[in-house]
Amino acid sequence: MALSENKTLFIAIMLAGSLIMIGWISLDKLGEVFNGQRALQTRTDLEQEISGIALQYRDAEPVALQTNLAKADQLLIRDFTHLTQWAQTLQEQGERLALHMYYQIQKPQPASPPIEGVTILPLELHLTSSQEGSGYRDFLQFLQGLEQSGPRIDIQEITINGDGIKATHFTVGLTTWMKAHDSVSL
Amino acid sequence: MASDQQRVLRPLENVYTMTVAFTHFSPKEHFWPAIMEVSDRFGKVISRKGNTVLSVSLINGRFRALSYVNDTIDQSWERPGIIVNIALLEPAIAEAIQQTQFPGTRISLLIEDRRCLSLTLQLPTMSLADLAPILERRAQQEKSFEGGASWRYSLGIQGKGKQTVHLEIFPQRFIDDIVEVCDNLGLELEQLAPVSALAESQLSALPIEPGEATILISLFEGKVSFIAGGENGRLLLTRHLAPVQDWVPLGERVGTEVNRTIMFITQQTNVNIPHIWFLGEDERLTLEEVQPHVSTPILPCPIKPDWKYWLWVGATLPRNLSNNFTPLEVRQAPLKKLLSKTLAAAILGFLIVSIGLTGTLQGYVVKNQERFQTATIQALTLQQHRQEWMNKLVTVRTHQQWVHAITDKNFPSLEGPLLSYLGNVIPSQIILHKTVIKRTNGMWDLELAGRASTTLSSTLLLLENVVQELAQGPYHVHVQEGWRDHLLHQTNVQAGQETAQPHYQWTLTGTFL
Repeated sequence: MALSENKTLFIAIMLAGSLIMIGWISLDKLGEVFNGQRALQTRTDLEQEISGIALQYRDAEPVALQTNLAKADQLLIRDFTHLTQWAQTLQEQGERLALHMYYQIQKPQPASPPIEGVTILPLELHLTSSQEGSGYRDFLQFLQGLEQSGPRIDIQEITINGDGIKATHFTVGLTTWMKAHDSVSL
Repeated sequence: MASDQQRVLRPLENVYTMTVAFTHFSPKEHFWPAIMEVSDRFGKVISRKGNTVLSVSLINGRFRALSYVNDTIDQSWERPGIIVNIALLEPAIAEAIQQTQFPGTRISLLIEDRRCLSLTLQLPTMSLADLAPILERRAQQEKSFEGGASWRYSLGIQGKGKQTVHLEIFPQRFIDDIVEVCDNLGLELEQLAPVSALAESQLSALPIEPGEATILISLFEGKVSFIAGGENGRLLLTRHLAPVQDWVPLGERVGTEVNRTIMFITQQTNVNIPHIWFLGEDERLTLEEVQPHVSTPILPCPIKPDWKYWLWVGATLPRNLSNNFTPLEVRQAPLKKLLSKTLAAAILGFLIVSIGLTGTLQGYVVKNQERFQTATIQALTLQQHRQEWMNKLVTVRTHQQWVHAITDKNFPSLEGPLLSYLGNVIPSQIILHKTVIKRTNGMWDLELAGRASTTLSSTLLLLENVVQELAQGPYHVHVQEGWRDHLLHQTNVQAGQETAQPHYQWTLTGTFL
């Protein structure tokens, strides 16, 4: 009886051991198969993803972007030297129109994201007509010249004052954009 | 003959399915017979084979056997002489197998022995839990042998606060010996029951109307039994005629006992017994010998049974008979053996499938190993490429946003053309001192201030025209209300002063829509 029980126990242990071993081997092999299949799938997915990204990159026209970057760069005031030169040009332009001009630089502010490397530089131009008649038409001509002067400007405010007979004094509040590396705190 | 037998025996399983409820089994013991019943039926459905049993009767030492193969009576054999010792049973069964060429392993044994007792008790109505110890004690008191007693019971008539209990008592040693004999011969003991079970099994074949009862007089191997049953073949009472009083004619004795049985049943219950059935051997007792002593009509059964008939009945008795003395573990053994084999086959199958699956997986892995490795390396390289492409794309997008931010103007230019327009809108009668155009939160605000030297009504009219021009013109300037009040207030002030010519300061403020 005891021998029979031992035999049964031995068979059960052997059976359980065999099942565990087979199960372990099967799981190991299954793991290898799953990993391999996953690698194949990952490769396919990555190929598709890269293809999509490349397509988006081509759609972004990187070649044309260089030209656009250069154009945008030209709209920025490079530095304060450039600013002074530009303001001097405006003064000369005003003088030709009998408008005496001086300017004030306001407190610069950094541009809000996503624009980086740019400082917003507020300026205030004061113009006074030096001729006897109204300087209104001359001022309009000056404004036209200002808008076509090159750098990007955003006119914020225009004030025209006169003596009741003719317009004599003009104020233009504007912002222009300057590259940040040369900006200083005023 | 055969058709009559089929008709008589057909409903047997129904009645015993019902009477199993009266058998004394614990809940665990109730479970196994039910499982075995289901197993038997399932096995029959699956194999589509009939019942194959060696039906053996051992009546007071006389040994008879019938081979029942696939629900068909095959061969029978009667052993000469008497078996006086249990030791002779094993060779007798072995010889019976040989003589009948029995191909199966199941055996049904029907026993009539002086040591095996059958009692009919009348006890107060009580629960089965209370009844069991009483019957156990009664079995120990009534036994006529040494050693332990095994007992089975079934409930009969219940009424007037009393219940009839049929108690069968077998020597435990006798049962153990039979089990050992069967085990030695490799047979599965399916049925070990008293011979009276045969007659009781015929009850269900009798036509009994609702509200009625009947009595079956059975004569088998000289033993006279009275089996009373109600509707649906329900067993009411079993009595056996004691083999004494030979000086009284048997017909008269049987008639007297029938009358007593009828009186007892009608006394205990209100059922009517319209007729009595007689199933016996003509050479020992005939119906005509009994009828003169009984007023109730006695009808003959349509068959004339011999010992082969009774063995055939024995072969078809259900396993879950209330007086089947086969130990539960013996009855469980075939099913357990089958389950063990099934389990072993399932494990073996699982092992084979597992090994096959593992082998297949191994083969697949070996076959595709190079492919998998290449894919893994390529995936790593592709991840780097993807990162490079993403960096390039992000850079381009950032530059694009930067370019758009610098080159695109959020607000349209307004100042130059507007000032020209104002020059046309302002009439020459009013004087403009100040013009302010100011950008506020993406809108343009306009402020015009000046002086007029015309009359109030003219000034109002002129300014009204200016306001309308501004509102309707290309710039749609909404001038704020209040400029009139400001103008009229100046009128009130000037009314108290004496000036040569009126002049009014005016201011228009508005917003471009």
